Amino acid sequence: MSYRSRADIRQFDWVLLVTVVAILAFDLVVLYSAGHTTGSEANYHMRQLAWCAIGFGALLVALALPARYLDGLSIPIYVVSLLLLLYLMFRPGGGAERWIALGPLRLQPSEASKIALVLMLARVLSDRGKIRIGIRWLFLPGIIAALPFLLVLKQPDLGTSLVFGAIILPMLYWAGLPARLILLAVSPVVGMVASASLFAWIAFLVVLFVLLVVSRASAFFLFIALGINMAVGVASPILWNRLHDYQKARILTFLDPGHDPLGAGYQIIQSAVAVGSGGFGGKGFLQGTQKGLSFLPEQHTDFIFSVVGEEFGFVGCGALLFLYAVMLLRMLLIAMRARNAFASLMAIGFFSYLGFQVMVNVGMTVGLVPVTGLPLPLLSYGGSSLTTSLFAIGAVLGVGLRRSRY
Amino acid sequence: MNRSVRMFVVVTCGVLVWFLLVSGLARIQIAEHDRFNTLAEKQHNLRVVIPFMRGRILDRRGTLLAGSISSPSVIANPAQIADAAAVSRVLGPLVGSYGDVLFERLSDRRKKFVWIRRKVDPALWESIEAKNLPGVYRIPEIDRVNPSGPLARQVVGSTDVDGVGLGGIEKQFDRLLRGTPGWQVLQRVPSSESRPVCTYPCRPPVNGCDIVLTLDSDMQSATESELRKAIERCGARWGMALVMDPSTGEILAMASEDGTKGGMEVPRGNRCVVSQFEPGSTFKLITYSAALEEKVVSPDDRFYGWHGKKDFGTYTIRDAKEYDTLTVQRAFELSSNIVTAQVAEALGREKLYAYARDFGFGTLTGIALPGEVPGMLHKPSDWSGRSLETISIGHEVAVNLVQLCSAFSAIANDGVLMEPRIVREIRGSDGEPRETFPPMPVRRVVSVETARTMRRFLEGVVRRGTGKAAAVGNWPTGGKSGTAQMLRADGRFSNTDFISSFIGFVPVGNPKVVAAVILVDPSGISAGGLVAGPAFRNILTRAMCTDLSDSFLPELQREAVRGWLRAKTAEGAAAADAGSHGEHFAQAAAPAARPGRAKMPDLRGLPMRVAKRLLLEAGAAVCCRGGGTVASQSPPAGSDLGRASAPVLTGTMR
Repeated sequence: MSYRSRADIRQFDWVLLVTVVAILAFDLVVLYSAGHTTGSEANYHMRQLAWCAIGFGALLVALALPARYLDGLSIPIYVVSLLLLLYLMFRPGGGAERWIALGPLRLQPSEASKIALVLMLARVLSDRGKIRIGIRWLFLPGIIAALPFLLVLKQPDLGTSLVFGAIILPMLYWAGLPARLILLAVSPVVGMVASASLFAWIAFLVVLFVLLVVSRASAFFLFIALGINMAVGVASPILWNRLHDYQKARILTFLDPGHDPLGAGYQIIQSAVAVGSGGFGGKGFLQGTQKGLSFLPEQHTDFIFSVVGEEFGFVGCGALLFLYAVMLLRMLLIAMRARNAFASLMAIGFFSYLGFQVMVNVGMTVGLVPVTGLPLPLLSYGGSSLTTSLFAIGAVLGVGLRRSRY
Repeated sequence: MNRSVRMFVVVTCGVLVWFLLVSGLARIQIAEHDRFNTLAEKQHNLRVVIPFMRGRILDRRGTLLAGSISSPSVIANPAQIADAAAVSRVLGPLVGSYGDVLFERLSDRRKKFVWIRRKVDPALWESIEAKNLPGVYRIPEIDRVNPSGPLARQVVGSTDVDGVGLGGIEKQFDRLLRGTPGWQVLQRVPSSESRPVCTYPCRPPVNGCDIVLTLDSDMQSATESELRKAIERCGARWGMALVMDPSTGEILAMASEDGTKGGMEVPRGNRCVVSQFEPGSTFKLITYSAALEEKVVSPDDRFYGWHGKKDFGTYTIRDAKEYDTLTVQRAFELSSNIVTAQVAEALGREKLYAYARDFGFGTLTGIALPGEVPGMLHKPSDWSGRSLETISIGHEVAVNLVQLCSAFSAIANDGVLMEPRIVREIRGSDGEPRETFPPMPVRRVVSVETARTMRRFLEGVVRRGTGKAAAVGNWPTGGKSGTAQMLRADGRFSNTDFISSFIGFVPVGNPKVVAAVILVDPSGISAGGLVAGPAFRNILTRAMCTDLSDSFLPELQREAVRGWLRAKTAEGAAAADAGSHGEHFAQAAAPAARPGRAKMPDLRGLPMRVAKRLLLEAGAAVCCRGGGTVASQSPPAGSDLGRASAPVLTGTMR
């Protein structure tokens, strides 16, 4: 197998690129509207356009770099991203902020660490184009993911830290980890939520038992899995008390948004009201009253999808979700077709990273998941997020371009 | 292939998530769209109530007695106030509340609405607003103001803090004075104040109707102050006075005042209608009118006076003085109880009762004021052996002042009883009359001849009888005094406590004003003619000095001037004292005699009434707009009066 990279322009995924450009065009329209509120004009769309230029630079860089360079760069990138996170934590003057001011730019190292984690995981899970996975290798990915996870959790940024979890599981699965092990990894998280109610917890244990039996787990494994979950179920109320108040409030508010309509529930209610009042066809471009009168929180960043929902309705939301589906499906196809293990794992990692954020952000806007403060890739206003997303897409495009090469 | 299976699992999960998201969207955007849409509208639409202006209460010439102004109320939302101590420290001195009371009110964070101060000066609100306090807001309200001060307060009544009429006209016409509040949908912005949008629906408020009273504020003011003075002078417990236009039944002034003497319970409310009393000798008007109308006596018939004491079998009736024989007229003039009782005996029970009924006693007059009492007039079948004589001299019968004054007005009005009225007109909020109240004759009680004879009798009372002190300048005045013994708690008549009264009119030939003064329990002298008579005289003298009524004043003035000239030629220059009133009228009646000599004074800042008086005394007609103090005048100070059209004064109140 040759290590020379030779781009084959015929293999370039134009559909993915066009989809991404379409989403970005839509983004500028929505951001123009989001900045267009009663009494104030903010030209988010112009600034985002500038970020698009930078982001496309990142996309081209990622596209130009063959997978083996990315493979080689993964360790330095990972280390630098960890150092930046550490700097955030220990920098003089306290660590309440999540960004580093660099001249006029404010960079969020946690965004870059998503890229770093994907590259690093892809590196350790592959060896010169071959998958390498085994029980003894599991610890290494675990530690690699845990470091940024804990650092970001400490910031505190629950949403972003969850992305790291969402990146590692599909990559492990893609690398060949048995489904029951994934189940074992995921089940304590679900069990933790379920343990809030005794009935839900018992029901969860029953379902887990059935699933384990179906995936032909051994009796020993079954015993271990159920044991761990029971331990988690007992420990989680204790852990619950160690959560930040605002984190508790978010989870509680997700369960019942009405219990504090002016406090933590405000965002969820306002978002649902905006999206719901949009109806099937939407109120029309620039006609959103909830947006226009600034009832929407964070309407140009985390809750940008609410603006889409209010002004373009179910039709607009459906179209946008369709574009995201096309984008993610193309990324998945590239991952599947990649001959090289590192490239394929990297594509799956970027697919999971973007897919998880779309799912969580839209789910949050619609009221299906708690408010986590995750941006909607390519749509939320913000340079770090946009650049990171476009870099990831560029890397995946590069994998598609050099499908059979390393 | 292994990877295809994993691919299938990942795609399946993705599709599941995708459908979950789309179905979530469909749920809130399609299934529950209406609910969320309503919620959204509720959030950015704010329906506010626009308060109506309660109708005005005006006197007969448009002087504002009660009006409405918008006046913000300061409220707070304690739930939005984090530091109640700081807010109450700033707010306390501004609204004049004690800091700890305010703090207590503001620190109850479960509440979302508390009153801070209702109906404040708009300027005060501006200074509160400037402090930019969190959670402190304003709501528009309407306050009731009485620009004429306490003038006619008992007639006008008052309202509570919510604008509900509590007494007087405010209560009687509460429904009409109220309007309908309007509303407006405002666009609500979370960051700042709500604002109106022209395409949003709104309904303007309908303001309440204006009530135009028959009262004349100058007359009312004169009546009130003269009544006060009289009460003070004679040390009465309380008193009341009523001025009426006999030809229309319109009440020009209505007042009741308390003296400083406490003790006995004093009736509350507008006593001219809510309190009843035994009229005493003033009631003899009915006895003599009936007797003359029925021709049972003639004015020159002579009756034996029994030297001040006559035995009527089981009881005796006394006179203040001892009389031998008296003509009927003279007996009326001197207010002889003994002769009146004999006249009543000649008249008979049924006739006396019928005439008393016809004159309006024992029934409600129907005046548009709350709480009128009908008085008391028993049927002859319920009378005791002495009732005929007692009633004929005004005891064992209870009347209210409006009834009594109306009865005198009937005589003044050539025998036709008019319905007494306090409201002249009801005007819609657009200023157009909605209902007018023309003079309503009730019935003819006596013939024109009898009425004229009675007026001659009444004039005699003032000229030669008990009412000499009541003569109004040189005008031919007619009237009747009354001194009723008050009923004591044990049911017997008191020999020390009296109700002194005088009721009369000017001028006798064609009476224009009827006035009544009642003074309850005066200290010292109690004879009605001596106690109430001077008050009557003062009220009517001042009435003559006001521009009482445009309709009849010129005629009155002419008559006054003629009377003055007659007096002048008859008595010569020595009658300077009496002439002072007449001179005043001579000037007022002939403003054209010295045109252009008077200059327009600077009247701004003066009370409207005073300014008007000054102009009238200078001989100029005047046009007044609004009440309160003079805000602007036309022509400006220093220009000639009398050449141009009438000066226009604009008041500070609308």
